[in-house]
Amino acid sequence: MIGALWRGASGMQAQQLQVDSLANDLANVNTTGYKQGRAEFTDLVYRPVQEGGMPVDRPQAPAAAPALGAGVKVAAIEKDFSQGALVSTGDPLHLAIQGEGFFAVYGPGGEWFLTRDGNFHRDGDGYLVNAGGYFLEVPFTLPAEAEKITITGEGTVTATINGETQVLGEINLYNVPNPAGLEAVGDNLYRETAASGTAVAGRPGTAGLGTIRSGYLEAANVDLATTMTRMILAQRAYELNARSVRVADEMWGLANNLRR
Amino acid sequence: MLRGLYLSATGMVVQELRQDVITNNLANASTGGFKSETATIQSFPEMLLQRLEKGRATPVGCFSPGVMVDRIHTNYAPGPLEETGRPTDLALLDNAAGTPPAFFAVQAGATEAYTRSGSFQVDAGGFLVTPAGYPVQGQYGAVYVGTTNFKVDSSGQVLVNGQVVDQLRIVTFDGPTLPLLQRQGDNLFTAPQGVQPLPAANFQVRQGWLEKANVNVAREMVDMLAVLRTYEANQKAIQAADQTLGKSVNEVGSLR
Repeated sequence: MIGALWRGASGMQAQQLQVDSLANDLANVNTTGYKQGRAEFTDLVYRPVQEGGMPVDRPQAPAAAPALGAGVKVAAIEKDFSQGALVSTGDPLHLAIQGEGFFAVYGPGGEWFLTRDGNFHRDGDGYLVNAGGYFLEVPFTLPAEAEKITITGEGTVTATINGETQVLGEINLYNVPNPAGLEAVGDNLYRETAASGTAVAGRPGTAGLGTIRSGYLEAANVDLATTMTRMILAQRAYELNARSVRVADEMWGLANNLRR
Repeated sequence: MLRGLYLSATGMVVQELRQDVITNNLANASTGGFKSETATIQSFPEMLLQRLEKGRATPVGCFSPGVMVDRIHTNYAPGPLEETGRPTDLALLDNAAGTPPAFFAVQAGATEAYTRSGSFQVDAGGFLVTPAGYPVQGQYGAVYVGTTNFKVDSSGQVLVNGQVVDQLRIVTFDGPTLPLLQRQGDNLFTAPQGVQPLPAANFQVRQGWLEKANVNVAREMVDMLAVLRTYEANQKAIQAADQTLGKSVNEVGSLR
């Protein structure tokens, strides 16, 4: 019976984590390049039932000893890297990735991250930086006199400098074998881990990488209707488990009151 | 009378076990591919009671010394499917009703385990794995899907860049061996020694879909109420037996 209490508690805890994850998705519904999480549940270990104090001459030995499960846990909260909607902004330095892949950015301290947030602009020295001041990994800078900057789907950056159209360079995209293994570090950035595998650079539009859409930003891929539905389900599942905890408690009370 | 006490106690123990099974089902109502369980109850073998009278034993009748959990039965009925659109999500659809369910085979350490939960990932090496990191099995061991988009057709063939690279190992168990499967946690089943899986025939793989738990919540709630009340009834029976015992111990033969 105490076991039933713990099982119910494990269910409440798992659903609470699910609600936390959903609440975070809802909070980031307007965050550029945000990817929603998905809680994965698995059952816990099973232990054989030992019936103490029961007669030993069972009618027939059961095929397999009955086993009781120990509840549930959240195995992982996986990022869902499906495409978010592309929102037109008109600024050619606003980049969105249509398809798979990430932009690589350098922090001021030299640390290296991946991101889907293509909210870039030109800083005073001509570097392409994102909202947090992180540098886009490109082998060129944009001169102050560069005008009419265009970025093609394959990442080629051209600009008109002093009336002359020049190719400045290319933007590469990166992909990792297991995006779900990336570590989200906040600020729309992801860090490569052993679980994600090493990021491999490639030209946009080749080797499974998506293409770059200049003048667009990728909206969060949070689907409000689905998230709200999941929230309702999580709340009901929480209530169910709370109910089973209450019933287990009532049973315990009955056992305690055997001797009045 | 003491027998009555113990008999009701077995009833309470069994209801407790049923409650354990129900809470586990409810806790796993959101677990992908989870199969609900029911504890089946049976009474202990009946025994013949005899009375000794004038040096002779005459039969009184049959008596059962209580109840116990017989088996914990797994309900392998398919759970509802949910579309997720993710290529690493696979669901198994059993074509004919009443046939034993098909399972994905995964390598869990040294043993092969089976799962209905098709929420997979691609690991750092490009292999298809479960959330716990166990590689999903194809005909040639772990299934390599690489980093590019891969397809799984309805027969379980894995296609990378349009080329068939492997076929998922999808197995089933015949009717009598199905109840012998043991649960391992992490949504896995294992087969005991001597039970061999058979290649599954009547199934379809759906990519981008997930199978949810097959827990019938309303049924579990009703069962839980029944458990609580049966438990209460057994408690009352024990109290009544105790009162009777108290009377015979304290009141019979007391002179007042």
